[in-house]
Amino acid sequence: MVIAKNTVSYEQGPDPASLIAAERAQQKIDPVKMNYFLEGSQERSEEVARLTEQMERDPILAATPAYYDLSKEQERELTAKKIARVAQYLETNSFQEFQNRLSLIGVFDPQVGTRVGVNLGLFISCIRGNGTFDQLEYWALHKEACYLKNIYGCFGMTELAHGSNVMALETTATFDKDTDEFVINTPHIGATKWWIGGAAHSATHCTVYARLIVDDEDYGVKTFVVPLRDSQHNLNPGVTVGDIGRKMGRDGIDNGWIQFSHVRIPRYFMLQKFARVSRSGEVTLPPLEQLAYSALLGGRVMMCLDSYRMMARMTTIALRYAIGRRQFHKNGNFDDDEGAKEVQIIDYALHQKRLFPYLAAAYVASAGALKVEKTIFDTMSLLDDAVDQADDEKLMEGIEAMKSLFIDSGALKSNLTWLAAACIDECRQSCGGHGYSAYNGFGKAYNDWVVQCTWEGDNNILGVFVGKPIVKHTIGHFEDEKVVKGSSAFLNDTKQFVEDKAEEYILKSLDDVQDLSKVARALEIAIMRSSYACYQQWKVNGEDFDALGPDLVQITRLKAHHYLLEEYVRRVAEFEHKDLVPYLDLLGKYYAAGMILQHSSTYLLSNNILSAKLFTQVNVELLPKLSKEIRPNVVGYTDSFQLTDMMINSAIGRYDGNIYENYLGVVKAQNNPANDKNKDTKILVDMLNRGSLEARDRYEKSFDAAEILSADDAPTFD
Amino acid sequence: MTKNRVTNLVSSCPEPTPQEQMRVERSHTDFDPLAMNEWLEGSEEKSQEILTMYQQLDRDPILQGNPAHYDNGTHQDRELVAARIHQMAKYLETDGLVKFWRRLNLVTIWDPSLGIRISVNLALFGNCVKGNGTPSQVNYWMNYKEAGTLKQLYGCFGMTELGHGSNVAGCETTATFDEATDEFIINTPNISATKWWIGGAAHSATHTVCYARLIVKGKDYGVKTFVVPLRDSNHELLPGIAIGDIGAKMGRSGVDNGWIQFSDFRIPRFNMLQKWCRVDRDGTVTLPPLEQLSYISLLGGRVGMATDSYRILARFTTVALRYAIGRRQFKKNPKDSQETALIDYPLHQRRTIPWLALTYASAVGTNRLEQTHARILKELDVAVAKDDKKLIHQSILDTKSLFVDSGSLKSTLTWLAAEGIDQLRQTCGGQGYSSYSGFGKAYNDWVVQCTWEGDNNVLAMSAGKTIVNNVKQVLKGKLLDERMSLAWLNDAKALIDAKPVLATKADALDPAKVLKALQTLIVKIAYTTGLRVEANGGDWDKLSFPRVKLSKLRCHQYCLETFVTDLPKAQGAMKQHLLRLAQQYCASSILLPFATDFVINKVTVDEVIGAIDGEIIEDLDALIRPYVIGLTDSFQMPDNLINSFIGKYDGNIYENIHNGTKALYSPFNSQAPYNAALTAFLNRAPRDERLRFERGDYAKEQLSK
Repeated sequence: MVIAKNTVSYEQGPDPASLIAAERAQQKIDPVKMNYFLEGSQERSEEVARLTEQMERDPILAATPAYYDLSKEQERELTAKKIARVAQYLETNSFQEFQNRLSLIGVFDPQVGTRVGVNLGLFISCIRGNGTFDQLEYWALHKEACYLKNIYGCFGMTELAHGSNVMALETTATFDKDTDEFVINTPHIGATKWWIGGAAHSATHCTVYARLIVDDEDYGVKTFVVPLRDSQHNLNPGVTVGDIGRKMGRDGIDNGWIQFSHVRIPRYFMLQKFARVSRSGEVTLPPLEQLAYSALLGGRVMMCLDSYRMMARMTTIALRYAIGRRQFHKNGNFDDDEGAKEVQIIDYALHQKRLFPYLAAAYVASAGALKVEKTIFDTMSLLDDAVDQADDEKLMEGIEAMKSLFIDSGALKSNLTWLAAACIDECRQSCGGHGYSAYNGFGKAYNDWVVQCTWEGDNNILGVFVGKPIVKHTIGHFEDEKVVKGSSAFLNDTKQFVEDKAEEYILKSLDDVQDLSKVARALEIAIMRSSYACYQQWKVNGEDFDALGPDLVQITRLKAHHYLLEEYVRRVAEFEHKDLVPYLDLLGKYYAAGMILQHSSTYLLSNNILSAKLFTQVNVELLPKLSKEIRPNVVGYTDSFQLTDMMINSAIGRYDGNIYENYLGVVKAQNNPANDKNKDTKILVDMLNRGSLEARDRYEKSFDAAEILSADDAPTFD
Repeated sequence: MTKNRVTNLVSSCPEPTPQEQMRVERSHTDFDPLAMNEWLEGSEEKSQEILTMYQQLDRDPILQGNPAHYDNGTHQDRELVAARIHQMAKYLETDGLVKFWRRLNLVTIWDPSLGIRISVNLALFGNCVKGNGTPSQVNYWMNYKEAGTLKQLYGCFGMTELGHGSNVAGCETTATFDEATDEFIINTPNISATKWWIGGAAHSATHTVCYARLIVKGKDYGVKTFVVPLRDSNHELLPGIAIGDIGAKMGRSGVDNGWIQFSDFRIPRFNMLQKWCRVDRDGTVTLPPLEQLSYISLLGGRVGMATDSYRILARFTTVALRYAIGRRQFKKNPKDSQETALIDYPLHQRRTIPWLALTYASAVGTNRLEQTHARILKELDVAVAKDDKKLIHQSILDTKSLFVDSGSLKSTLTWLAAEGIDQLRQTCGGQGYSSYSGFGKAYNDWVVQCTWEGDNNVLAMSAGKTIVNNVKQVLKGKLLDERMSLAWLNDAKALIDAKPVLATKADALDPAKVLKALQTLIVKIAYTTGLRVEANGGDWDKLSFPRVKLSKLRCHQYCLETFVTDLPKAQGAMKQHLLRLAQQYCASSILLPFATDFVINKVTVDEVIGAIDGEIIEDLDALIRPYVIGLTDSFQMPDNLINSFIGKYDGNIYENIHNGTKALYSPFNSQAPYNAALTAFLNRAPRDERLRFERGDYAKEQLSK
């Protein structure tokens, strides 16, 4: 039997597309309405759809499989073209619209997002956070930096020898009273600005973090706008810039290094909303040094949303593939049912246990990310108002709000970016060999992604940073009977759960595990007990917080889960499409039992949050039960992310599920089989057809040679 | 004010001196790294062989690692690897196969694409021919046609198909016997039967061993192997063969993986490999009595990947720990004159030192696996040559053991190595993300090890199932043969009834007791899993999760058993260090990650787990901390092979990064090749002008009239 359709086959091939179509036909979830939940509102969901449509049709912005074959140089050039294209949208989009656009671009081409973000997010946020309103007006509007026009900013914070510890940066800005200038200088190799996105080739200006030195006194790190290139895009004298070259990912970004050799800038190039130097060299310092780092907060918040979108994209690919791909017969019984098809891999318990936690995590992450996004918007407005109205009380309120935001965004950024990294990798492995092909998207996604765990606050440093004030609250509560306020107020209950109460289990039954409010409370108690344990250690270790580092990271993890779960529960409760609520509840339960409890099991067990017996029940009874309920709606759950084939850009992850034809089609289009000989063919053919070892040794080791060279016929000298 | 200081660079104030710190740290070493290397490699002889090869490879201008290669595109990588294959072929002619195998293992540390491209010919093609062909067939293809020395022929391994990976028995390519012409017709019946991922197929291979269903007189005899030529001696594709490049991958761009479609391609009957299965001239099929022995040819790859895991971990613990010595960040105490070295933070120690301990454990574990594999191969050859039934039976038992052990070590260790590369990268902060630190390429090249030659989950499920079945068998009173490496399961009854093995903190610090605890846990989980299978009507798939877990535990038990056995061989100060590493391995790689299981199964108690998490791991970190440089120097990896700016022996991280980067990207070129694209949008005209003022006041006025 020969079957000719689009290709000739001798036999009926597999038909993965009809599998996914059949499942899609049976969905009970309306993916359009479900997307309202994921994007926060119908309005926003529709805006996202409009933006997606625009970019999908855009000849420059749309991602294609060819993207996966680009070299570093090609990626750089393409990214520059995309930036130029984005600049045109920027001139007409509203702020929120453009923000959403960048977040979406982050799904299919994160380097464009970053390269634009370096100018708009970091450079301008730095000016906004540290400069006066007039300075902001000058650089961002008058000089048009906010439209990607005339000037292009980069963010000169990190140095070769200093990353996370911003206070220790060594570049100097020395005030020269005679000329009313600052002298910007890189004192030695360790102070070379390093990793500066956009510095290598794009940026004309840089916000430089440098130590303010006036009359030999060091006032700590402040910010300065330093021009790097003139309007002909040539480097200014005294400025040395280089490309830092190839990276694990994001090769489309021209990260560079900068050395300043006594570069002079006018005094008014210093950003002086909070810190000021007068003509005579008097220094006014800001009320809170941390305000200078507020530029980083926007990035952290954005990364939470990025994490949601990345997990959405990856689980969509992996789950669609899992529906179309068949492998082995049930329990390996090949002979039992001859002619029967192999099992769809989605139907294996192990496969479900590998993927469902990340599906649930994507849903939960969307809620948390939207909340933290709203919080930063409110907080920045509050601070702006306070400064505008010179209202000190409001300013202190804004500073308090920002401190909370530092904690919440730190906990979320670190844990969600880690979770997304793990998600990409697990989804890749779940697609077997095909997951390793570049055209299926995982490899580039992973390599581009993982820097999110490091930059703008290294995840471990953030983990310590967030965990520390929690333990300090506990210490304050017990040593000085201080009452804790804000999002950690639950710590005031600590006495009810420690010491002689420390043995008491909190989650007592499977019903408790499925009651998300109870799980959220259990997480609070886990934090109380862990924090209390840290306090006990701190008392005996000489008050050494560094020694508690590993525990602090763990506490931060619990805090992030707590934040996410609480917000998810709140959002589900207020969601207007009640028919979808049971599906959301189900994923919430899976997140609690299949992600939180598994992720931190040792910690939760050793803190007696639940018993070992109950934990076994969760694994043996609860998770298989929940999996069974999730399984029929997998297509609906992933379709609800509303990611188009362009955004997903994965041959095996397309909507139609026709995995084999799509994949072979992409491979052939990208690698024309007519070009069967490669540059290296000649090298190989020369090797295969090389002469024998004897011939190549010119027969110098042959029997003949041995005889000749060993002959004892040396002349004798008398 | 500071004075200008001229050393090799001009500085206006004192620069960091990480290289000084490295010298100081190195001076703490109180043992001989060479002696430690002998312990790690198992013998003085093996250590010497490796060091000799390191020296040759470190100096070889074609084979040595080079930071410039991190900038290679796919085509440059392919070409570089082809040139390296040629160079390696010359070593092969004089090394002999056993020694060459070691050499190939070593180059795999920094050029895994090279390793696999040669392995595809020698190990996959070659071992398939050896495992399935008659001695004369082996002699013909490997020696007479010189495939065994990478000459004339280049073989690839045509097993996986687009629609079929792990399930080899489900392959759909057909080999139909045509009695009229005495030929097999090789055919790809539909798209999913396209041979896919075939390393070397895209451009290198002249032949493939093709896994295809043998069809004779309409009957399907299942999957057998055939040598199928793909290209002629001018390297032109043969008619009926369609081949393409599968293109870009997550890593290993130096490997020309391809796809192959056969369209009624005819080969002579004698191209079938027929050590076990034969087809006569008249179409009579003889099926093999001992086909399972043919699978032993796949095991070499798994054993090699277990060893690769040790070496890649050695490479990156070296990089990360050297960086952690030189890099300073934050001051512990505001009064300190310098920031604190990363390695002096307990959290950083906890992120790095457990990987060092795991590397040591994997060194001895994989050495044992490698030695066992070599012995079994040798004994099997003797047994088959003598046709001695008893010896053949013993070899089958050994092969069965090796199946479980190699599957469990390959899957567990390649997973751990993937995680290790990533975690260690993160400990180097931003610098870890630079290609020139080595992590990125290593990770991307590495992770396919978790998937190929037996997907880790599939291998682990299979190993786990064997353990469950063995325990069930033992409990029914049928003991395992003492030859089997799992023969300790014969104590299953006693282990199930045992009291908590680790009752105190001291117990957790005794590797022998932890070994016992691990055995107990394995037996208990295997026992309950067995009961659950019986209860659910024999549905093994539902219990794949505990099966995977059992496989991981078995790997640790194997490595720890070897560690405990090998420990006494160490001399002097080494002994103390090795004991601490063994303790750390137990605490951080075994007891903590599986704490929930140890507690639930009552093999230990909460307090012990609490002590491990709260004290033991950190106390051991602090004890190991002063010797991390000596302990990584003991891997004896030369700079060119580590190929990492931040991981060099001298520890001069900043100058190495900066000078290295400058050498690759001269700052002289300060404008991008695409500078015009940048300035075009920066210096673009105002929007009104670009819209031809069609929205301006004049237009509004005129057009509204």
